[in-house]
Amino acid sequence: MRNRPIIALAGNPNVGKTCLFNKLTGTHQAIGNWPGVTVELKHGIFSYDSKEYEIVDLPGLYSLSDDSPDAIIARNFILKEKPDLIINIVDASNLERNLYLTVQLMEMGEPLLICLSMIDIAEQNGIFIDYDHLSHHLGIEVIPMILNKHIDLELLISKIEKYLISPPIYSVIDYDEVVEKHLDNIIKIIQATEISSIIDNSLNNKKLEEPQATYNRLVKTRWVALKLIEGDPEFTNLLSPETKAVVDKEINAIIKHRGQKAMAVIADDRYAYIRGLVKDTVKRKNKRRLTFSDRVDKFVLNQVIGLPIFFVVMYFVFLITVKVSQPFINIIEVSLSWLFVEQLGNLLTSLSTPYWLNYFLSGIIGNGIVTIGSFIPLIFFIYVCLSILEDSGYMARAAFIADKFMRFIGLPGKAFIPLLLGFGCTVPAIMATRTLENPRDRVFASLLTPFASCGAKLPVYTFLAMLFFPQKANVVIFSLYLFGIVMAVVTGLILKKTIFLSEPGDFVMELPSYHIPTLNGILMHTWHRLKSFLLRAGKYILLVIIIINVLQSIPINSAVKGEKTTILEVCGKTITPVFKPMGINENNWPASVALISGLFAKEAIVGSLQGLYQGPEMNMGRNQFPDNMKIAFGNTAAILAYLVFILLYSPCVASLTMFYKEYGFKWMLFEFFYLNLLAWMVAVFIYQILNFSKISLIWIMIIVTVFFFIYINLKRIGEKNAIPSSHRKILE
Amino acid sequence: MQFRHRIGRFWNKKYRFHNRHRHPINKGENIILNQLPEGESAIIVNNQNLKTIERGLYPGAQIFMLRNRHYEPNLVIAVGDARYVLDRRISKQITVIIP
Repeated sequence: MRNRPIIALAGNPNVGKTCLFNKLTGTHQAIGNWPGVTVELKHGIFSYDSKEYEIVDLPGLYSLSDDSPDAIIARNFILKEKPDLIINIVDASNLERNLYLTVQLMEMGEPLLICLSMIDIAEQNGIFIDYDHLSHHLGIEVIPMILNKHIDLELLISKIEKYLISPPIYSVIDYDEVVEKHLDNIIKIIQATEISSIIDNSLNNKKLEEPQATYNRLVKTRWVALKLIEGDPEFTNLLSPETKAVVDKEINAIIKHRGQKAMAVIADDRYAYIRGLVKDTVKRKNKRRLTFSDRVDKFVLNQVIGLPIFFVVMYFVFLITVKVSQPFINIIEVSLSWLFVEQLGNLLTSLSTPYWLNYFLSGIIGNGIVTIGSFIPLIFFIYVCLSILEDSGYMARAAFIADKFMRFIGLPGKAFIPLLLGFGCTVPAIMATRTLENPRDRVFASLLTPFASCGAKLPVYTFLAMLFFPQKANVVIFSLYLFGIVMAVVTGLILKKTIFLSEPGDFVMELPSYHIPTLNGILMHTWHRLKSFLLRAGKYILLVIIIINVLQSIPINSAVKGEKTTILEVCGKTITPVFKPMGINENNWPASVALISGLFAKEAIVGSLQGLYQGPEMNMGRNQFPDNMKIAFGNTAAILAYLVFILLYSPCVASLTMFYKEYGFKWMLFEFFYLNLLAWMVAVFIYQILNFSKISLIWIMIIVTVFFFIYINLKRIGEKNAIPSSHRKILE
Repeated sequence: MQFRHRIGRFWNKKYRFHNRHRHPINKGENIILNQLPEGESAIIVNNQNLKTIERGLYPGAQIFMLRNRHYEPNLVIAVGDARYVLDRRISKQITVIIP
């Protein structure tokens, strides 16, 4: 046993793994009532009675045979890191399905402790479990708990300590007589081949006493034999062609006997064991066919009113966000400005600090903090609203409503969840695509996530909409969000007809029961996201503000003799001609600079615009940034085109990095160039239509030509390198 | 064509669907899952899709059809205490029997 034992938390999605992880480690991971909350391993330290344990929260999985990336992450962790103990969290209200994973973990021979969660919901549904009886049958301790309320830590620790010292020895399930016969034959084949030594090496049995070592070896060999029957490529690839032929013969005999695929035979027999177990240990009372959730779903999932309900809900989310947050923004701006700009400036003056240091600390950093602070109410309210929707269970319903529409653009309905998460932040949205089983669907959904305006774009929209359209700011913001969805549809259709020619993957998704979101849960969820947003975005905003101010302060000689200019002005003026067709003229170079800063973090656009339009070098006749900005943009068409460009252009560096990490450099470059080109084309198109002149026709023709050029080339690439869907794999 | 069918064609697709499937299905007959009408329960007799077997749709499990509209790509089913949205393509791999 390690000095700091590793304890893994495993279980189906939505059973409370992250909740237990938070209770033990004291950290506040996001908890959601929809699948895909934990899409990577989360590590935390739990101290109790001067002893430390490393807790690892695994992604939710229904089965160890599942081929989705999050299930592979969990399985590889169990196989390679070999945790000292696995706490299997089992949803008592859905015992049969949850025990399927338990049986698989038992077959792996891993040290296991079972924690039964949601016993209150089970009792409400008339399900009463005889815990001792269940524990006796499984040969493993079973601890009943209500994880979202108080948990008995002392009891849990005592069981953990007991199993860390002496791991449980439990029985393995018996398969059909004929299956057992062929299973034994395969075990004998394994014992005579090189896989046997691999099993021995993986077990590290030297440290164990003989009975435990023999038991481990037997269990592991049986598990490997089962994996071979299931056709797991990780194990079949280890076999030599001769051995494989002999094993295949045994498997074919099983298939012939049962008339089913070998994988289905194993799964069937596991469920037969579980059914017997549940029949023996569970009593049911007041069984109702339609639950409260089913009755609510009759309205929420209704074909006619389901979609309007979703749009109304989302509209209110943004209405509440913009309207309710406004007074708080003013209060925070005034307070932070008084503290970090005025008072800090006065203090530094009284301490006789040099002017440049005073300007740097109170003028640059102080104003930067005010800018960051002004985002807090907006982000807070949007996350509170989204948390309520997620915790209540509505998000999964949204995926169902969206399925028909998602199929239209070539994706399964489940891909709607990552796209919805994109309204919070693109980084977790890209990570959430791991919950999609099909590689084609994962890449495709990730390419569409930047079209969902992230939380960082909201302050930019709010800032510009309130400045240029003060009476209709919420309509403008909502229209931008809708336009993002429209462009996602257009891109989806283009990609479906070009690169992703195959069919989307099959759609199987659990609908969680509706829960009343707890205040604690919503606040924890919101706080976790707000903190991560501020810490991640805050440093970029401050950095960009500092860089921009420094670049703005360093004078260099202008091309015109005797005149001075700044580095920033030169950079901005160099790239501004590219944006001229979308209404950004040469004098409006700060708008171009702000777009560059937006590549670091979208929210930095606000700081850049505020800083750049403030200075006298703008030379607009006034020294106030709102007026300077209004004069620089000139007309409504230019600002609308600019807003659309911000909506559509490349996501921030953090999102691009995540894209690279998940799908490689090629897809990241594609995303970057495609989005920038699309943003430019759409922004130019909008500006030229709204500001129509003779030259507009030429620009529109150029855009149409470029579009067809891109479309034809994408189609050519797609025909050469189409990503196969699961269906195509089957056909092949 | 009966008058109610003609009305149903134009304004109530659900009504038309029920009429198309209600009568031909007899108790004890093996049918494909997507033929099971809304509000009916059945027993799974064969399932060739591992993903759904692992989620509890194993032979012998009782299934209840919560939603089945032929113009929608998915079904909503209840198995035990779980509710699933199931792709119609997958449902073709599942055979059920009405007890």
